[in-house]
Amino acid sequence: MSLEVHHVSFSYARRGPALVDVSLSATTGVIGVLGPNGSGKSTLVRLLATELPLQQGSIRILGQDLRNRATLRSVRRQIGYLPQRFGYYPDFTVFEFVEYVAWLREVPGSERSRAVEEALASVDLLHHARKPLRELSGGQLRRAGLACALVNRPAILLLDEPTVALDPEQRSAFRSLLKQVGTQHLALIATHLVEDVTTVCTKVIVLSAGRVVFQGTPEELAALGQDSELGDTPIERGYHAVLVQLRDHGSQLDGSHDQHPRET
Amino acid sequence: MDLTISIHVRRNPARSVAFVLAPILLGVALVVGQANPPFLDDWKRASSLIGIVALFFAAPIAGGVATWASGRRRRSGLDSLLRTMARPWAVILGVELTATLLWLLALVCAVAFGLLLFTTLRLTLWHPWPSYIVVALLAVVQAVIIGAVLGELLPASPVAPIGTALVISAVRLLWLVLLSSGRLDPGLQALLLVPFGHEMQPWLRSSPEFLALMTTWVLGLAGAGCLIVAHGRSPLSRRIVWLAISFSMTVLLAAAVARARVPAVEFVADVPTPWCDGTAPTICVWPEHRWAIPVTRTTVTELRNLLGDRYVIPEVLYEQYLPQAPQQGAPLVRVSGYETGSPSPELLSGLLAGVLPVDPTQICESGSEPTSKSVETLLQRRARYPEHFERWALLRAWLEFRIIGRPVSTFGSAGYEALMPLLALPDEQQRAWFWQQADALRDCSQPLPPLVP
Repeated sequence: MSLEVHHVSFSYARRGPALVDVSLSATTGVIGVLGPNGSGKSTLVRLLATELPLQQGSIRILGQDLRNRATLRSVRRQIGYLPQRFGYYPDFTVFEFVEYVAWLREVPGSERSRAVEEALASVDLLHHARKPLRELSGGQLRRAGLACALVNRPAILLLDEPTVALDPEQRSAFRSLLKQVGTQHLALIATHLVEDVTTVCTKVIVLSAGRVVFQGTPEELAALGQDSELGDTPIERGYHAVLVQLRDHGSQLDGSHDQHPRET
Repeated sequence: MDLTISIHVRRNPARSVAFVLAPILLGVALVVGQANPPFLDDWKRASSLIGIVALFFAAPIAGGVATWASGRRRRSGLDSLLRTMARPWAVILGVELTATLLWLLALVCAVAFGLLLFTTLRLTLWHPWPSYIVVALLAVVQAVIIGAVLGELLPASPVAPIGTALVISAVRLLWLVLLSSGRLDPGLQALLLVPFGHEMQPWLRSSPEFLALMTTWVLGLAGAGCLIVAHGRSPLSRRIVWLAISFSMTVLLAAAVARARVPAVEFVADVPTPWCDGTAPTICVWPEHRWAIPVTRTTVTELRNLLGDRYVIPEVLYEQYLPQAPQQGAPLVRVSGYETGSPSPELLSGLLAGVLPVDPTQICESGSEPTSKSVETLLQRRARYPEHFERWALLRAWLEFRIIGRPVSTFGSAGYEALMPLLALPDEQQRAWFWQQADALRDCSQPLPPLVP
């Protein structure tokens, strides 16, 4: 499992630049991408999920260049993706929709049913398998989306705001699941909830205005906030410290941490 | 394939729109429909056009666009997911397209089934339900169809939904024009018109189309029963039943359309004309031609005043709920779909004097039965040769029940063809034949004289 992002920039036609010269790399573990709204978190995840086309720079997933059309399909087979806005067919049952996604991810037919059951069990939705999606609550829908992301047993899991709409108990269960996934696979979660990063992530990336302004371990981020009074937890204080520093000394911070991506 | 069917069965995005539209449109239909004739009786009227545009086009498209707009956000999320899948995008689109088409097929079959059911009920009960109800139901169904297409098949482009709506509208318009113009096979046209308030011809009840209709209904009911039984079982069994119903109904409907043919006008051949029994025949104006009642009554009254001492001219009867030819009555004279004018004094004088009109083939091209497809031509000719048209219209009615003893102005031209040898003769010879045969024509104890001199 490996993820390498080199000098990636991306601009939307109407909104302008969303990512500017982003570089990072990782092999296993859970990477948390933090940042305020509009900082480019979702754009980064969408690029890695191959939803958006690469404009500048290069991305290698599992050793395969995403620009290479010949290998793109095999890469996609090994990606699990939960978009920020989870779309679905409301009249499908949970099982049917996850099964459909499994088919789309080219899970072999002989393994499909079992894979669906495993994915549903991992998000505690097996007992709702026959329920139409339209009858699920927001948290259950999010877990159904997570099951879709897990159904192909992905080598790389990409989750955009995965804990939104989950209640505290579900959030806790979900973090346990992510920890478990992170021991064998690579997971990248984009979130604005610092506590997600605190409990789960082995590496943290902070984005601001499309640039990587911090890259390191949660402990390193916490260390940056020792003198800060904003935030309830060390990591929150570190996160705020990075953003405040950036606001006060933007020109100095630009690129100060993102030019030397670390292996985790 | 299984997954394709799965999508097909599971999507029904426009259901909520239909639920909103249905009661509104039905309410309008019930109120307005009671006081107005069916659309297709006179679809060139401004009020009919407004109704057609509103119910057939505006409402469905508005419903479809509303559905599309309401589901855009959800589809956007789905799009994000689908674009990252391992299966090629073309394959995914193909599956979605196939699924949608299957869904639409099932829906169209269900609609057809509904129409056939309605037709059959009308045939059974002979109740003149307002055709607006059917039109309104069709509008709702169209909203569902358009909503399904716009809502599920075309998630991204804002141009495509508009194009789809226009295409569906164009097809709808073409169907309406075809139905109204008479270019369709008469049997099929008659069958299609029944739900719109038109009466079913008796011959149609023994036709293959009707047999297919009844078979479809029976199979549809059986299929619905299977669906009910299968409900609650595995999704796959429900899909199979659903698809089987769709398939069988489509095949039957296609067979009915394929077997539609020009019917022969033979239904009164065995009915003895009561002309000779002293019972006056009845001139029946059918509901769809109710506008012709005053003209027909005036014409017949004037004719009776002028010719009553020589011929018995029956009363005109307007049968609003006319199901079929009266059991003991005379053959029906059905006023065809072109206007008859009041006879001019000159014409009546001519008739009284036994002067026959000119060869009617000057008015009816090639001697064929005038149909609505040549209405424009007929109207032009009527404006140009009004006396010819009046004479022919009046004379034909007279000839139909006096000489032929059965209607010739309904579908087909069997009776008319029998007359053709006589009518094709020059005026002088026609007139001479009539004078020679006048007594035989009046004397019911004698057989009809040969129509060829």
